[in-house]
Amino acid sequence: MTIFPLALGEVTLTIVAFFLGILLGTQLQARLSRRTTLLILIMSVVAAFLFEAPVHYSSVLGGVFAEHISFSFKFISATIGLLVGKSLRKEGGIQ
Amino acid sequence: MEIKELRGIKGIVAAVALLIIFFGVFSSFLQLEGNVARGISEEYNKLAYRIAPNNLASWVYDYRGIDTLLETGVIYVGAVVSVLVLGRGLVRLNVPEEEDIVKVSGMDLKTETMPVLLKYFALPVVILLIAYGLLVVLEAPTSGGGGFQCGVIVSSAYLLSVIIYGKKSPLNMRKKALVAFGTFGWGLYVLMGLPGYLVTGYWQYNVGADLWSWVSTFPGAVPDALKAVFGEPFMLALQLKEGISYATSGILPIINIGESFNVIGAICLIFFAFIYGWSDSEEGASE
Repeated sequence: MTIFPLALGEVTLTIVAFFLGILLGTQLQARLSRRTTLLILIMSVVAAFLFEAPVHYSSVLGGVFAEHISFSFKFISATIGLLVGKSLRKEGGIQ
Repeated sequence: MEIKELRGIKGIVAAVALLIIFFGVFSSFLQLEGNVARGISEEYNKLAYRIAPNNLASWVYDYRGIDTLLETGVIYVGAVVSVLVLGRGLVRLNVPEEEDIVKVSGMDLKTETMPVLLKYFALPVVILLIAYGLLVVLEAPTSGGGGFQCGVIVSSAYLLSVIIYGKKSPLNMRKKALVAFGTFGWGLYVLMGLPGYLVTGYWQYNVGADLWSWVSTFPGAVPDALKAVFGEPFMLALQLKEGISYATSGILPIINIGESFNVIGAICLIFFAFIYGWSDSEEGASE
């Protein structure tokens, strides 16, 4: 485990995931309650743990906390981006 | 076509064509021994890890980048043509212009009567599916996945949303947005060929990875600034037995993103045409 990434590639795509999430999130027209939003975020973290960080990643910023404990930060970042993108669009549709 | 129909001029043409094909294939088999060039694949396999740990991504988007670009084009053109053919919507196909569109009750689900499981989990699943699609495209250089797969996954999220919620789907992709996604994706893919072409003369040369500059006969040299812009942000430190090896996928992730948006636009456009029909005056999902 290293504190700082050995290479920038472990972080860049997480940032890109956030912005792509915003882009696609603007296509969501749904009113989400706080409970549903929390559910999505929890499910996202669980999924990120299951997906794990790529085997070539080695830093905390890349999502690697220990040898067998890693998170796919891209997935969490994309989910947050989608929720942010959704909030940018005027509400309506399903409730 | 039956054998009887091959009499006369048709039969002669068929026989000549078959003879040409036969002699062509047969003679090429005779020349096969000792003349098979193994191509560049073996050398490329030795170099591909310098681009991305996922060798397949290096092959599809670097070595065969233009081929994949054309495949992407075929997908989008195919989608547009499909929309033009089916654009009025399946429901309208056999109905005269004057009659109203047949209402399909299954498409107008009332969310109030929806099963609990669907009501509370369908939308989170749709959102997580999109996030998964983004994960698949962004992890393409390091693990399995890519633009095509991402496009299909996001399209399946769109379809799932429409199947569950009907026309007033929460994933409310508009016609203009889908066209914009497709053109943005294809355009991004095409434009990624420009930097390589300008400095080396090879379209879609990976200026970030700069794999072939060590060859003495390679035309042109990639400036350090260009190499840094496209290479540094995607640099990975691969811990190999031989030690740490730095590899950058260069323009591969960007190409993958372009590819994914192209496929999202193309496939969702077909779904859109089936669901809402197509006309210049309608905005489809918004109505």
